[in-house]
Amino acid sequence: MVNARWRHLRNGIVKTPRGSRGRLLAMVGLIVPIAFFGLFLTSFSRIAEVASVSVQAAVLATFTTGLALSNLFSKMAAGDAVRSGSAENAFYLSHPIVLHRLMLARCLGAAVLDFWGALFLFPVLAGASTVWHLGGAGLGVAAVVSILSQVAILGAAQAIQTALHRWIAPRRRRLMWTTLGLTSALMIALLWIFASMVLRRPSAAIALVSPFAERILSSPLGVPVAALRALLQHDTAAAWVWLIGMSLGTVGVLVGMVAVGRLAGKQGWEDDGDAAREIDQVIPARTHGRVLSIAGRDWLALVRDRPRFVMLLAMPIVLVAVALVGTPVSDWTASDPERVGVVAYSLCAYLATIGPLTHMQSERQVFWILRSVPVPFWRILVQKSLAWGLLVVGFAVLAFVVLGFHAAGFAFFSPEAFRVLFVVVVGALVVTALAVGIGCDAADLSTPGRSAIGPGTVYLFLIVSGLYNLGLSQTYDVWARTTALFVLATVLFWMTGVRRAEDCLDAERLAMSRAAPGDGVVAVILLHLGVHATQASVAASGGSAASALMARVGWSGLVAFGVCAQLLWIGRRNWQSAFSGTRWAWRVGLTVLIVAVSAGLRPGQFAGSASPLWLVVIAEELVFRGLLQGSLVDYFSSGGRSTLRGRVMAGTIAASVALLTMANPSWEAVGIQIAASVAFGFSRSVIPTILGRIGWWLPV
Amino acid sequence: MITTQGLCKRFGDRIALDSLDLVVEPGEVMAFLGPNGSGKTTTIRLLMGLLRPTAGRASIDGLDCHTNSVEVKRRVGYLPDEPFLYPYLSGLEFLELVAGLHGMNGSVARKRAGELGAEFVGADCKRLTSTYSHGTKKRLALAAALIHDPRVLILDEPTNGLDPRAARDMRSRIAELARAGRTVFLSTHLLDSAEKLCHRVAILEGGKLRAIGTADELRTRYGASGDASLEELFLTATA
Repeated sequence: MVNARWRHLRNGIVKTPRGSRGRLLAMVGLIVPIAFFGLFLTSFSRIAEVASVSVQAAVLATFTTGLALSNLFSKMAAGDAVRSGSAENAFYLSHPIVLHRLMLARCLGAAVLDFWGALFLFPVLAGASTVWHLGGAGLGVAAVVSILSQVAILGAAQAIQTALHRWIAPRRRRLMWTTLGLTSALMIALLWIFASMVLRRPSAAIALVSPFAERILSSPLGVPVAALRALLQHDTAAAWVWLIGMSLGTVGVLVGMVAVGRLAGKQGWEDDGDAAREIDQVIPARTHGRVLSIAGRDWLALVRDRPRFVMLLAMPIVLVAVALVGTPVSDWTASDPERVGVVAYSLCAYLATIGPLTHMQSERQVFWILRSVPVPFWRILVQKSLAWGLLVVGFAVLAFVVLGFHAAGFAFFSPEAFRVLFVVVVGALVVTALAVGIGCDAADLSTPGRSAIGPGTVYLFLIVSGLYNLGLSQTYDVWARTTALFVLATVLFWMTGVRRAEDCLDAERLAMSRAAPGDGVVAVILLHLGVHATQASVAASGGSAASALMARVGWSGLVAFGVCAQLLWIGRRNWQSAFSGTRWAWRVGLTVLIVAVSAGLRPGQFAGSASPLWLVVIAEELVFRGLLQGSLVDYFSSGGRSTLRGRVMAGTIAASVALLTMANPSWEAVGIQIAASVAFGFSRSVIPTILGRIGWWLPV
Repeated sequence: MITTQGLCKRFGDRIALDSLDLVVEPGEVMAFLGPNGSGKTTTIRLLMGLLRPTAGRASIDGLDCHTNSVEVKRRVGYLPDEPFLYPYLSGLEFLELVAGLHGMNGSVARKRAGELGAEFVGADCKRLTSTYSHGTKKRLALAAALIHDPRVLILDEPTNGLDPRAARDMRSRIAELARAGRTVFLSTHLLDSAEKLCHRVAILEGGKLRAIGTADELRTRYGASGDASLEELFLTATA
């Protein structure tokens, strides 16, 4: 089994065609832990500067135990052992393999092959080890502790799931799965509170943990960090003792799991984990009212899928409670309607993630029904958005009201409060549409045998939905601009999503792997949010204008490199043509450059090739023209040929998006964007636009 | 009624369907035969507008299946090979939903769903579809395909996975539909039922049309005796 899984993993990454999402996800999976390591390292350094070693260790112990418990409960709730892995279970259990051996193989297989799962504690422990200057030994201990924890967690989760399924009656079992799901959500919420404390306000984390530091370290919570603490005290023997102890503990968990497996036998498995199969009831026929619509069907399915329904009802309550109880968040939201709005919208975005976005996961199996009825696909998606929009908007209002009541001195009946509530409701509606659009665009709906909504899709959704939050706490013009950009991004994701969903069964179309407007939107948002964040960060730290400029250049260069690397790597054809250009495009570009420079149109503003600002131009042109406009020209093309109408529409959208990302764009900037879009529309190359803009230098 | 002209479909380097020319006349029942991977399901998905042709054209009732797919779907009933259904709907609710999507209003949709539900699924139509057997799901999917009383039926392996009784039941239902004047285009592996049900058969192999005609025409073409079965003709055509 371990060997088969290894081959499956290797083939998924190495032997798939260029452009596969497996490679992309592998890359994202590599970057996220590195980023997390960096974040934790920075925060823990700040803690280490002011707190004693025992308080540092207690903070680390609380954080790692929180991570481990969240992992344990989410694994139990996900039902990997008896539910999700049903096809694999059915395969192995139809062969002469006993249940407990399969469970053991799963644990060991995960430790060896699920690198990111097995090393889920590693970024945190490695960050602490780096701050404590423990060197290679510290990193080794961090890796071993993480792997042992993962094996123990997986063993415990499988044992509990199997026992639950074997010895609990089906009717109560559904309640147990729901309870586990809610507990998992609560654990994640509590972890989120503590993590945001550690990462954003380390002083609050120190204040919370200090009184209990010694008690935490002498309790089971201190076990994951005990070996590192021993190394910090230069007691290598004690570190070995702790590692051996953890290993024995893990073996103990595995022995317990095997015992449960042996007792349960093959009856410890569900047939296929389909909760709907457990309901066998007669549904009375309706005799009046409107005929069942797509929206009605979605509501009906939601209400009848009780564990999911309870989860959707309970999650908002948990989230609002977390926002109220969590010290840093409640301080932050106090009395300011805009801040209440930001938290209410953030919670909405989270609800949209677990609601309409994940809904597309189950929807793909029945795609044939939606595709064989005489209704345009976009109309079906509109109905879905409306059905889910009611839930998300309802929650938005609830969250706003509850958080408003909690905030001291919050004036409910003030025009400002109504304005913010309206803004939050608009955001909730658009974010629901965005979830449905991304659910179709980013999700793999082509086969029921694969997970449609992976972590990459969820992160993508959270990044795009975060754009609206940027404008919520800003001035009216920034909000209006950001909202326009957010709505436009949603529309582009819809366009891409509808097209992709229509083609989802067509392996030939999917294998063409062309850049889509959705890809352009992602690059635009990354560029925009990154520039915004770097500028804000430099301003907050009192940096000079030069350092702000360098930060912008640095981020732009990173995005340009990322876009080039990603798209060249996965070999998207329309992108390559936009990047390489033609001889004609080079000539036009060089002519524009020479004419512009010799005519001295903007003398003194461009410092020549030595200026790093050319990176900003390249990044903007690659993103706005090469990727966004190029993919839109492709989208609007008819029968593989671009039309004049399509090129005009693509150019208009790309220029509008570019202008929306600018603060107070001048008429000159408008002219530049229009000229660049026209040049790209005719040449289909970024070469003339880059050269032209460098010649006519305007850092907009 | 159903026409394909030079219809091609590629999946990367693999040619799934190679220049298929086919005409199915109104009221005709045609069986599409072929080994696994010969392009039968691809053809059906192209006709339903679920796939875009790499080259060529497919049309139903004179309407292009790709560019006019919404109008085509008004005229066609489709039964897929694996009919996944919404698990949390009863059979009756599912039929009502499909009726609504075909533009029927409340009372008409409910009446039609009730009639077809009772006829095809019986008392089980008030239970959730997740509790249905494979055969019941197929019968319900066939009822859904008939909800708007289409003139053309496209059935992908309608008897696949059914037990002998259910398969016979499905065959007799298809025969009834054919007698009622509907054009039926079906793919199947079951040669005896194809011989009994269909006016003509088309044999596909490796994406290419190997033979088309009535059983007698195929016997003449391959020089087989008058009592040669369709199975023998199929094996000769695909040898």
